[in-house]
Amino acid sequence: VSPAPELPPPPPPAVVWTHRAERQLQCELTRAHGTPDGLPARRDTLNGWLARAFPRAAAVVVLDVYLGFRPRKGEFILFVDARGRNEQSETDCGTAIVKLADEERRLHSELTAWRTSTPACFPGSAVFMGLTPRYATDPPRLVALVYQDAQPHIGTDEIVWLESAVLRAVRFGVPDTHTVIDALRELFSHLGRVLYPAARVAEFEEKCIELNPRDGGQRRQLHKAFDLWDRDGPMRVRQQVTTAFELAENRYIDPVDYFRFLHEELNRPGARADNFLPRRLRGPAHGDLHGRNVLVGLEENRVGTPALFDYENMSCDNLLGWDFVKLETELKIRALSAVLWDASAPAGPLPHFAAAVEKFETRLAARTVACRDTGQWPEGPDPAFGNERLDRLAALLLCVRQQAELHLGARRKRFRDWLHEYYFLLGCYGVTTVRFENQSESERAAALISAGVAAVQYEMGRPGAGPIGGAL
Amino acid sequence: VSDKLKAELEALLARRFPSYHEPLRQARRWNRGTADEREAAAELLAELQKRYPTALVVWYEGAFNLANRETREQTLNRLKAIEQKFGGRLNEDTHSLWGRCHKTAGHERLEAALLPTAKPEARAAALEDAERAYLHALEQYNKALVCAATGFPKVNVAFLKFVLAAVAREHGHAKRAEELLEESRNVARELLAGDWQTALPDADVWHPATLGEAHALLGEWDAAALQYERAAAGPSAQLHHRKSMGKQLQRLVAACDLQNMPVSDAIRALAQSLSAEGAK
Repeated sequence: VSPAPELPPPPPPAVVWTHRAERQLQCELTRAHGTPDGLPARRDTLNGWLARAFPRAAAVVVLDVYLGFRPRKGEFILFVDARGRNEQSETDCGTAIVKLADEERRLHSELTAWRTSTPACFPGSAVFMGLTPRYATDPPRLVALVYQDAQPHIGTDEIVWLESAVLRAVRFGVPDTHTVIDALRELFSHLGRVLYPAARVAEFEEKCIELNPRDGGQRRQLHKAFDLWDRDGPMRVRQQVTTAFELAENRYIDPVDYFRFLHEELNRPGARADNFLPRRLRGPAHGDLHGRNVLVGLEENRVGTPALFDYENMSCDNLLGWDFVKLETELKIRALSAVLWDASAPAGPLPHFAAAVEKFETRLAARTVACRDTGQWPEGPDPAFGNERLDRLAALLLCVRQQAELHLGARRKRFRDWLHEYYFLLGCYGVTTVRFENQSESERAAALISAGVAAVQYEMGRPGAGPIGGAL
Repeated sequence: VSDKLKAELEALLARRFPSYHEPLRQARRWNRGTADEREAAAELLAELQKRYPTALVVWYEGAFNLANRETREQTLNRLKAIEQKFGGRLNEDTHSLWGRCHKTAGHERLEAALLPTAKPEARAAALEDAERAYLHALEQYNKALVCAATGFPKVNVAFLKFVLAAVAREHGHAKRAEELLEESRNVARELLAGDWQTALPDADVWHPATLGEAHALLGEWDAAALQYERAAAGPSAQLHHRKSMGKQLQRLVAACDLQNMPVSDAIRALAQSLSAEGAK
């Protein structure tokens, strides 16, 4: 009997780019390198990786390239549709989100973060898009991370970032705010089930303010962001915002000055850290939760189930509260910029914007306390803000805070501590946003004011703090 | 600086604060106190400027300190440096202080021009200097007005236009003088019609004093006198408030005289008594 003839390996799949995807790639290259030069070469490289990541597909259609807030050089997240040779039986078919990177270690790092932070053998869930590594043999390399099939996962034709859904809901009332609230609750409910149970109260061991670990290694330190605020652009924003509130220390204080003060006090000989820092929860958390790492389906006026991806910053040593304050800040600063920035204001747009943002933030702080104390959080637009768009935004932000109360507070019997921790981290996060060089002036100002109002709220409850306020 | 003040200053400098507000409160108190206290304020403010470089109010207070201790030129140089540091984005107080420096220069030159002994050439030169200084002051008060439409920069804009009208008349530019006068009256009417607030601790003095000046610019002498009396009787009124109101009113009366405008005897007497009382 002669042996069965060995079948030749299937030819590599053809990779086809839609015009939209190619334009997005061009845009990403321009953001990262200042020029789209090298587009054909980059596309060829990505095609090679895709062909090796989907070896049994007949063709891979690149539908979109997702642009994050900031370009990550040498890293690309694509939305692809792989067509199988026999779609009934092939596994390499269907839509998927794929992450590709020049440096293999970045893919490894995310894979490790995913495996160590999620429960053992966790395959993904209705919200967590499962992650599969794709290895190639020639040469051997981890070529891609493939997130679970996006389209059936989300289940609607139109898929958008959570950020887009929130901005549309705030500005136009469509999609319905109630359904965005439902999506946020579902998102945190899954995070609460999958990641947060393993959290612990962190020890006061630091001599500086430590944040989430960087790439699974050392924790970032807040004070390293201080000097970045002294550069020209950020300094101008700080100057104008500080000037707008110079007599209102019970509403806004410069968060950079404030966290510098905490840092210096922590470093005084004999200083007690618990006089300056709140008790914080550390443990498995997403670490980079913002409106562009969550996709949602849109159907008519409704937002559907959210789908979470990008696990690069997952770690068992993350601050749980960071997930909440980052999502709040990143959604808020864009929404406030869209709603309140008035380029024609007589004294310049920034002072006018700053006053309006501070008013919103201070009211949001008051509403948070009222909701916490009564246990009644808004189910829809909150009419306390006197402007339909701000009412809708406030409802969404209060929903994030309600979820924070649940996961940082009620479930751990930290009924008062959670808000203290929340304002501390909200202030810290606002200060760290200075690293993002592509922030607009309004976004930077909104982040600064968010942090400055949070600093006042935190200082009012800090042990050993003196009274705040009084006429100059 | 006394030992007690030194100790207070050292204690303040040794502490760290969550924001500039608490140490600035002390600096402001010292800035408005004795010469020794102003010296201490200067030291404290120099340190606060290093610690809180983005707080314009701290830099303003430093310039205010300088204005009370050093020459006008030094103050103006400091204000220019602050303007550069803050990218041209100053606040009402800083623009107003800047305007005040020029306004005072204008008054000095106008007084020189009106000296009976002044020769025609020197008089003309002094008038030109005064006009230039008043125009610089007007520019700054107009900028202050954009920052915050409170009554203080507005009344100064109205006052400066009024004085510039007097200078224009002295120059023989009657038409220009009429225009300026009309502009001044419009601003004064706007001020009186507006509903503005101030957070100043001595608002009970400056608010009625500002209204009094606006009425005086419109020649409404009885209403002006009423407001000035309210201001002088305000719970926060100090001698320096009375002196400042009296001097400003005297200049206004002088500008009226230059333009041959009638002024009530009561207002002349009030200007005199406020200045004299303040001088005590």
